[in-house]
Amino acid sequence: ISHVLLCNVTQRVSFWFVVTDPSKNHTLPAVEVQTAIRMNKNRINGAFFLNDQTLEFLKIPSTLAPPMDPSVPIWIIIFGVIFCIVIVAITLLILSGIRQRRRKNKEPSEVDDAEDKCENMNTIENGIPCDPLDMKGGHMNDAFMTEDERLTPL
Amino acid sequence: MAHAPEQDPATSDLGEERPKWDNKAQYFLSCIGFAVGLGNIWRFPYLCQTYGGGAFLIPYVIALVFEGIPIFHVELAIGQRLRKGSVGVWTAISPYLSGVGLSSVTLSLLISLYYNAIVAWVLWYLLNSFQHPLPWSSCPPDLNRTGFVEECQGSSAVSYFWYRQTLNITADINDSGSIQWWLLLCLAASWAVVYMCVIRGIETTGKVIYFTALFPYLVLTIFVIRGLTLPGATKGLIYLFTPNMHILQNPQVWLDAATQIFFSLSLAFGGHIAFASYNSPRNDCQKDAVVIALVNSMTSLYASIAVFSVLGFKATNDYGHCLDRNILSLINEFDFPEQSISRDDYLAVLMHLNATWPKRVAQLPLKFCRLEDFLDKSASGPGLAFILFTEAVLHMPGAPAWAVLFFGMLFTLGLSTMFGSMEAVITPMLDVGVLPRWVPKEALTGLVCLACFLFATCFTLQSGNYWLEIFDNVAASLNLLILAFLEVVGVAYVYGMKRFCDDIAWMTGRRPSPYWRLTWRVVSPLLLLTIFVAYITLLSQKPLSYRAWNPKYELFPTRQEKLYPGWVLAACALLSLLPLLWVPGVALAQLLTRQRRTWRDRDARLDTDTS
Repeated sequence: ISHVLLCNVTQRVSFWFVVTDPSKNHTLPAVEVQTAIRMNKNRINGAFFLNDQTLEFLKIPSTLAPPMDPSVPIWIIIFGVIFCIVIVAITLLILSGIRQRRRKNKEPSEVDDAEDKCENMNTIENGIPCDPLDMKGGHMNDAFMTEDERLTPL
Repeated sequence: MAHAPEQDPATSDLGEERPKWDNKAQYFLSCIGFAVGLGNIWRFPYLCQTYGGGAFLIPYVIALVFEGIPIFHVELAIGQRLRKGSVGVWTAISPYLSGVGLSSVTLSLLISLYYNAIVAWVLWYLLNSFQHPLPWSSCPPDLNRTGFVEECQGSSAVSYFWYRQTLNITADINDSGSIQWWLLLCLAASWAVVYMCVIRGIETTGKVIYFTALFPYLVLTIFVIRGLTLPGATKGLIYLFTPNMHILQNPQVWLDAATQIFFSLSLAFGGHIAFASYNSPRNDCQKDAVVIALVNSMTSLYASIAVFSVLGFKATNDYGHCLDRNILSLINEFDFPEQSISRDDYLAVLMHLNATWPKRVAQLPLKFCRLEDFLDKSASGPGLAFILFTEAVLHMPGAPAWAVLFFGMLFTLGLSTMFGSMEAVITPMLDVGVLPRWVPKEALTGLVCLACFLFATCFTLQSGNYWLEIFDNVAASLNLLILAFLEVVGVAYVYGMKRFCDDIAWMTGRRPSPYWRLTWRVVSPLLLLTIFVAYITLLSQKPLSYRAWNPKYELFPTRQEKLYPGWVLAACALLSLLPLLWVPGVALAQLLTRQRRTWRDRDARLDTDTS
């Protein structure tokens, strides 16, 4: 404190100061003091337990903290997550739609196949080939039916 | 007396069954979701506050009863009875009127283009809300980090984030600028989400609607509870709801109430017709119409409570900051110790200092702080959501959570409205058979969504916001009014009131009361005509202008009033007229084909007579 002189002290803690250089016995130029304070503002603040709002050096604008800049902006990460989920959902919906349609197309032809298979299997039951025509039991010979009998009586 | 429909409308020509709602709740929620949209949050509270608070409810309710509910009932009834989208319905009513359906489809397409652009903006804000501190809480520092960026310093961090970091807006609509890649990504994402939900028509939207229609109500409740506990909320609410009966003498109030009801219920899009067409024929559409319209209005009121408690808090906060700045000037000037003047003492201290040191006080930059001035600073539309509300959220503890909730709510509100618009386009396309039958529904929806996305990229240009405003104000509004007028008149007079009442009696089990018949026949068409004429008169009274964000303007941050250039007005006139051209065009085409057929028949008869 021996090389710092105070003057113009007021009620509110504010004062002017100059810094002297003991070896050369003159005051240091303002520009040098200003750059020194700018570089060490943090330490000065810390020493007084103050911050940029409560400790102000006139004509020395405080350097603002650089914005926190992550390498990948956060919004892109979340966007990527949401977009991937949506694309996967769309693909699943399209695939399930294709599968549903293929199942619907296969159903009528599958029913026909089942009937044929049933007939083929029945004819080789017990190792004895049966006459396929007999398996469709209950066949009426139309030649011996009269007109009235064909229709169900009320 | 009741007659059954001529053919079984459940099956189409090729025996494919028309899709059905899984249950009544899905249909209900879809209609509510379509009706309740962004306008309920950011248009109604603003109108309520500007037009004398509680007094605004009088023209609003009158418009609801005489215009909103009758037209809504008509749409649901014809959709449910004729079981087709808007094009099919109007072709069934009269072949000369099928142009109305085509106009609805074109208009829904145009509106969904810019509506989803707004949803993309909301998505951008939502994605940016997942960080602390929020990106719009502070200005970015300038190059040598001694101060903030000049544009930000002049306006505010929130405005800077909206106009510069989101839109990167140009100072003039002529200057299109380039496409902003981040907005393009958000637009692609929103169209992808819309496609995912609409991919198989009501089969998929019916499942998603449970979330998208109900989530906004949950968030609104949370905001109402949080908002009412914030300091200054009651001041905002009192200011909102204090009725000022003299305002009712201003005809502008009645016009705005009528248009608000009309756009709020999303009438004349064809979306409600499409939704109702998937209903079972014997469904009480009359009760549905009344209930859904009332739910929509109640939601608007509920939302205004939430919005204004938060805005009241913001105004109180700003008022406090204004006082603090003045107090700091006084302390700095007179060398008082820190925090020696409290906000309550400020006026007394100022008077004392003014008496003792008038010259020194006069040279200080003291602003006149009044709470009413801050309460008056309300806005509607994107200004409310992206500037006012985002700033209010900054001051609430746990800001990112509130921002996520708010923008999540806006996103789901916009989505559910988009479902209705998309169904209004896709259902008629499926009914008419635009693509051959073997093309799956997923492909049709995919093509529509892709085409819409490509056309909507023009809104991601730097001048996109200006285009969106003119789209919204001019192209959409007038067309919807005309289409709604044609709807009511077409059903009441062309379809026939008697036939319509018979249909409703068959569907709901009782004939419509004289209230319905009177409103359909006389009151609603007259009201719509009056609104349309008033709208046109107001538009033509002053030249169309827009407010540009120009950092080089002398009165920056006030927006600079500029006139629309000629080519922009021409483009908008084109957009306004094109959808409507279907109506006379199709009627003319029908007339010509009929005439040609009668001539051909007459010639054939002449030939047989002579031969």
